[in-house]
Amino acid sequence: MSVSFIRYGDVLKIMVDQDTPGKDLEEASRKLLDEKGVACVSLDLKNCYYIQSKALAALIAFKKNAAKIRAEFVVSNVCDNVYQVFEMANLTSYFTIREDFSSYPAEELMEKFFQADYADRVSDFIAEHYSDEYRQQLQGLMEMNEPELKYYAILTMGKAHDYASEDRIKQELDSDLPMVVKASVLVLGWFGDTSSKDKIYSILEGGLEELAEAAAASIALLSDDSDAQRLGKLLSDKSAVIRTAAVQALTLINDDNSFNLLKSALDSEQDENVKASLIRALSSFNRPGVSDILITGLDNSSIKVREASASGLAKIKAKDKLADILRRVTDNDAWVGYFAVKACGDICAASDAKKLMDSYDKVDENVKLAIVEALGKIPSDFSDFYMKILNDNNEDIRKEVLAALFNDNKDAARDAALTLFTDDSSWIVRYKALEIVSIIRPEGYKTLLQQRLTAEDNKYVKEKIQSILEEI
Amino acid sequence: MITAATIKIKDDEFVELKDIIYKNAAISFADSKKYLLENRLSKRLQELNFTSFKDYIYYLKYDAKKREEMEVLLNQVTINETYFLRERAQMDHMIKTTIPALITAGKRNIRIWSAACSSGEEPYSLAMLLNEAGLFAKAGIEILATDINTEVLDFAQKGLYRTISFRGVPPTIQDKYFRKDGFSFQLDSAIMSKVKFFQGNLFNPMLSAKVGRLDIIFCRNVLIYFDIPAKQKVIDLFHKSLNTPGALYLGHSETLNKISDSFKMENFGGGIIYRK
Repeated sequence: MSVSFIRYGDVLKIMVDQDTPGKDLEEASRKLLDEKGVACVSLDLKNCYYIQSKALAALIAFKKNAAKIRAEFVVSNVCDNVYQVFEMANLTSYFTIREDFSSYPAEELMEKFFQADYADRVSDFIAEHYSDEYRQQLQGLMEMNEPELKYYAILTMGKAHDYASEDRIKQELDSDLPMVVKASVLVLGWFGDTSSKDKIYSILEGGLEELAEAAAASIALLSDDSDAQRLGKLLSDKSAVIRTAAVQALTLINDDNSFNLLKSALDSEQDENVKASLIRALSSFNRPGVSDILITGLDNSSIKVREASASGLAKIKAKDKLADILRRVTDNDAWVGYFAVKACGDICAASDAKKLMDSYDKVDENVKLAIVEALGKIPSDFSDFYMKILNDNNEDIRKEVLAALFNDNKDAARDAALTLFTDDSSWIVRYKALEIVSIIRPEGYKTLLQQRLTAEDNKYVKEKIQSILEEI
Repeated sequence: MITAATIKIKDDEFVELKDIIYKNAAISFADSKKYLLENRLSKRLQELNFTSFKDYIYYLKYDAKKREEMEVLLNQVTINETYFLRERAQMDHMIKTTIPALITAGKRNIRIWSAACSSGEEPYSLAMLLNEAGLFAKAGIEILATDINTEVLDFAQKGLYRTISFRGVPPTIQDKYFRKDGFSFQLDSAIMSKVKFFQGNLFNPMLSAKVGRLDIIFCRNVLIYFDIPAKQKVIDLFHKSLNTPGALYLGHSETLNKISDSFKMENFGGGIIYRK
């Protein structure tokens, strides 16, 4: 049988073999009309390594007939050659294309660990559908000398909470393959294996960057009251990699002791990258005094530290420092200004907004963009201001204005979006306008979309129009 | 990304970012590959203190160092895993058939181009096999290797590889050409000297002049990342750069069907060669 129907609840999977004659496909598409209670039809092309263009008409018929039985239609497991044929026929946006790993036998799935594009998702899929068969296959991979396979086998067993494999995973802490050690470190952290903590410390102290980061995460998961102190000593290690890893671990532990250690380290740290990571770390602590540290950081000589401080202020929404933050909107470093404005968007009241608007003409383009975005977040209507800059030469500003207008004044946003959707020279603006039009759905918008589908020359906007029309 | 949180990309951000990447490297990202950008770029966004891809897009557009950042971005999105002697049948075909035929036809200098060499496993594999077959003594053979990604080129030029690059490599080859150095394996300097690396974007009009005339091109598992017009441009470049006779080897899953008819396709059993 070259086309087979397999039913899983309200999902109908249609498996198609390589070289299925066109007439079989057409017949199968007609047979689809007899199906009852189907919510989703998945046409699986896993076994098709190429497809003749004449078969495409049959695939389109499948989609039409799926719509007739009110079922969603997806094409799954499309290989590159077939995708290329879809591309040439302009069908990539016509069909919803997905991957469906459930169609693959366990052994074939394991081979996908070799493909970087698939490996993480295959691992997630196996963990979610863990079975004895998968477990057996993963254990087989553990005995092979293939670093990638072992790496994903360990991670997958970890994600599936396969505690029975803990001892086997523990052995890999001594592997001479860094990626295998990394996977073991992470999984033993997830498993709460405190007996491996010392070993994981020694891995962190080895100073190999890719391992230190994983070790920091696991130590935090395995930590008790004594760990902050132990990590604190590493904050003065001569290796910046180890100091950064210690910062990460203390951030994740996030207790008072960790906070005080990080705060002290900030005073003595000389490396600007580690210092910036300390600033980022401190901004994730909800403690009194953090906003003062960040405000002080704004005066640091290192741009990285200043930007991290400004970003931290945006993150902690430091209402008590609003006046200081507003002063930084016009900072010489445009990214400090950018983050300062971002912070304002989250903490300003309507009465403070005037200061942002007054700064608009004095700042760089990126800060202008942040000002428009921030105003959109402040609960008040600034449409008069937006209308003045709606025709700015910068396409991103026009786009941000539309988004902000949509937050503040739906009627004005509708009118502006309708105009920009048809007239703006930038596809980025037309795309944003289209998003707004599709949410507001003004009268006659379906006709407008149909007209624009013909007139539009940008492929992204065109694809978006097509997908909205499909939904309608 | 396992230890750093992944930042989600919104639809409009994805479309804009993929347009930026397409304009700079002609790489197309299908909608289903959104997660790939999230995974590969989240850490970079966090380093820059950004919490959204919109911030990053503005950084790429408005920062004074936007050109440097574009290189960082392309380095992140063009990393392709490879290993020594990958799809070996084509390499063996070159050694046993294509090069001997060129030598028999009187060719004394043969130029080979590994046109997207990533971290160098492909051109070094060619050099090792040429050495094994004694072909360096029979003709002047030059191997050029290019990639758009400056990070992988730096890596390639160090010749220092992890176990992951040796999938399926016979121990005799590994032992003969590599010396263990901690977690890594150092490639023999004589083999390294046979390959000339330089940065090259396949869509840069100057690349053709940089590589010059060639006899053999390897460009495997690269075209799959391009859309049809981009594939046609690259194939056109290859055709113009190849001497006659010339040979083009593509990846197993890649085809010139409906892309170009300027090459003659020949199935040699273990794979396909496109002849000029």
